Amino acid sequence: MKRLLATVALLPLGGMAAAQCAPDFTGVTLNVSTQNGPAIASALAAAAEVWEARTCGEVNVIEFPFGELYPKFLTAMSQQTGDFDVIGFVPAWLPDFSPFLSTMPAALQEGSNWDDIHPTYRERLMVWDGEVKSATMDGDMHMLNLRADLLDNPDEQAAFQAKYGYALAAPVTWAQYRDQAEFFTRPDAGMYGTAEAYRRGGQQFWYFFSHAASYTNNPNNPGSMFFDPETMDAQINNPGWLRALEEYKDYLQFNPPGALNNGSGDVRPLYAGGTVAMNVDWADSGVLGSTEGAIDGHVRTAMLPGSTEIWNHKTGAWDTFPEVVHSPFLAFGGWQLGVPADSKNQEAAWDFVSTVISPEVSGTAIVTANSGVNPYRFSHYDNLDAWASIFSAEEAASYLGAQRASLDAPNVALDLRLPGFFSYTEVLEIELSKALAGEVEPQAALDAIAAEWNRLTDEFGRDTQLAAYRASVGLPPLQ
Amino acid sequence: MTEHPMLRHAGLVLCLVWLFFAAFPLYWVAVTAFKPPLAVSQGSTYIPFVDFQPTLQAFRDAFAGLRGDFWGPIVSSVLIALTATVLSVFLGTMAAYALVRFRFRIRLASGIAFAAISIGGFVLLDVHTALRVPYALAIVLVVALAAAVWLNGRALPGPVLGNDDITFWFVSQRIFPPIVSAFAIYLLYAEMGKIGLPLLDTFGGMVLVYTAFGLPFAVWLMRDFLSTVPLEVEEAALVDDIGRLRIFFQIVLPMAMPGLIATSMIVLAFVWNKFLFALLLTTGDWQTLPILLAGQNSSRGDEWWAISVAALISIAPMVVVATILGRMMRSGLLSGSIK
Repeated sequence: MKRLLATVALLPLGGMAAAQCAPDFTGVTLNVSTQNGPAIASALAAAAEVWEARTCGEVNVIEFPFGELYPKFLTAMSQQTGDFDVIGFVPAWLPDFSPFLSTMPAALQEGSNWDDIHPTYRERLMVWDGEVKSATMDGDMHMLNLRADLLDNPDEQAAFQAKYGYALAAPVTWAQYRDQAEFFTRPDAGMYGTAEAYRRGGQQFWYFFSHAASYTNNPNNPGSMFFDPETMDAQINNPGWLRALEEYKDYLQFNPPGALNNGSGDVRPLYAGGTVAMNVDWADSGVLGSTEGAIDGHVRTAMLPGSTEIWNHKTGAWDTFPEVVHSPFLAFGGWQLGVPADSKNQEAAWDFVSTVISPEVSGTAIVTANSGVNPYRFSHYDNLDAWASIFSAEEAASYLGAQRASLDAPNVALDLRLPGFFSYTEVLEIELSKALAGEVEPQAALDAIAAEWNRLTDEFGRDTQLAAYRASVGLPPLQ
Repeated sequence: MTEHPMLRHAGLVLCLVWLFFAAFPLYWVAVTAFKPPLAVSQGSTYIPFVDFQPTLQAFRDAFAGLRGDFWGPIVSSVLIALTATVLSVFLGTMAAYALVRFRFRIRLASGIAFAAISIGGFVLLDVHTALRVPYALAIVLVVALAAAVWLNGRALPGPVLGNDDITFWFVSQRIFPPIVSAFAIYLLYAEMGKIGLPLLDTFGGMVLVYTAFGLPFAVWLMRDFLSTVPLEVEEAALVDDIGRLRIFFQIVLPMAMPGLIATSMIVLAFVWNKFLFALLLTTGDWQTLPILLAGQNSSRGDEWWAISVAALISIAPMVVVATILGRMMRSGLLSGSIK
């Protein structure tokens, strides 16, 4: 009798609990997987708390080493084990994952939250074969990180003006970048001009791409940076790429000693600790510099330098432009979320994704230390006040301004997205490392990469790869 | 012969040099775990409080779960590694005992017949029937084994394999790279899951594969240890009409205890550090420490302070186990048990 009375008394409470779950996913446990934290995984864990409180479901965040994510996800999805309900991955893998991913529900592809996502992500990186297969949860691109304590120093300004004949400011071209790198290289004072990643396995090829975009992403021939979009012939050994490689290698002399062994993880503290005057990196350097670094208050960020000359593969000559053309490279392209088609909890999974990328949750993630989440929504760029805990007003304006300008740049360069991405980048890294170490001439290394890329394209199927490549760069199918 | 003092000193110096090379990586890992990120990338620093100000931040991040769940993999690793080691050593010791005390004769032709029937049968069943992979495998393995045993009793031509060949066959399991079998096991486990017997990301599935992995080591090592156990003791027991199992458990095993412990340590070390199987066969529930350790090298580059903390945490349980087993090895009881 007591039990009956207790049950009757608790019924209204149960009803209230159910009413608080909107939608009600009580009993649903989502397996959400990505790389080991804190970057991205901690953002997913924070979003999971919000989602659990709203829906009464549960989230199990499963982490794997970054280097193993691709095979782990691909084998699980191809074997239809149903291990994962949501996967966090990078855009380069979308072509390979796409056949195994569900399409984003139409309801999520409308409304103000949808329009708030920058079109570069919403209309290009999240789309494959005309369908929205993923949701960007992190915006990523390479930027130039500078130091106001050097750029605004009158003595430095005068000395630079005297030596190079123009004012010291954020470099607009790679030639200016070289001048500044040379100017600030002072080994006796323990200071060097710049820091970039050169180590194989240390994300070197994205740095190389960032240089190459300026000389190969020709606005007169859209989509021709990596391959000829009509024949799928590799372009990586053309004079534009050669110039990029020679310059990238030349800048080694302005890096701290041992730079050939530096990966992106080394480049960051070199800048934040004040060892170098600038670096090329994702958004992490600026945050590290302003929170844990020796240059707090002096972090300045700029769009990657550009060029007035870009190689035209059709004419076989350099196109000259009256103004500097910036081709900011969206290296990596940020983390994305996808819902495998074999997930048994698709509705809940997409609901969780919508929570992660909501303006409120993502707006908190972008200003949370070590979340690894960078801006990708218009609202992220507009709300400068939210950055007060990390940046000064000048730093925030510069940091967000550079990112927004990069995304808005008419000639923005997207990362390589192609089935077999790892096969293409593997040979690239091998030959690139040989060239940087001086074991082979740059042209010979690029020729070897081009030959292997063409072989791989034939192996994967030239027509299939051509169609995929055109889709990835936003070109319509060939008739 | 008296030792020359100079030789002794030279030996001591060589030992110290060797000690330095052996201990330096450990020292570097220990020191780096206490460094702040900037101290890691701004030149080489080695002495806390002199070269850099130590911090516990990397440990705090690790145990707060910021760099992945550490407690779950620690528990998983301990349970899986200990269980698999005990099973490997137990089964391996039995196999090794059989190889030491009994003479086997396996006709090569019957082995080839086993392979032909199992592979051919599986292909036939897979192509011509709708049987799921696990059922097809079970059928062909039972049939192939029965046929091979029957054929082995016939006067087949060709070479006859002895105990040394069987021992080599065990060891040969470890000659090929693990990836050769790892993906096949993954596919098999995935298929088992589809017929209602989940093995992926389960304790049973992990113990099973790690036991199989540790077994060749156990057989190989225990065979040598058991061959040193005096045959006379067992013969005396047989004269007293004591059964083989009782001889094995009550006489042979206690006498081979130092070998069992040494073998357990080696098998445990191999199983503890196994990465590939854990990566392929686990997701969230039974992920082990090597996966977490590898995960500290993220897309953000080599974060050595975090890698060092994870390495120290991974090493700690093994140090404890090795210390305990080492003490047991040195105890008078064990050192004298084989006499």
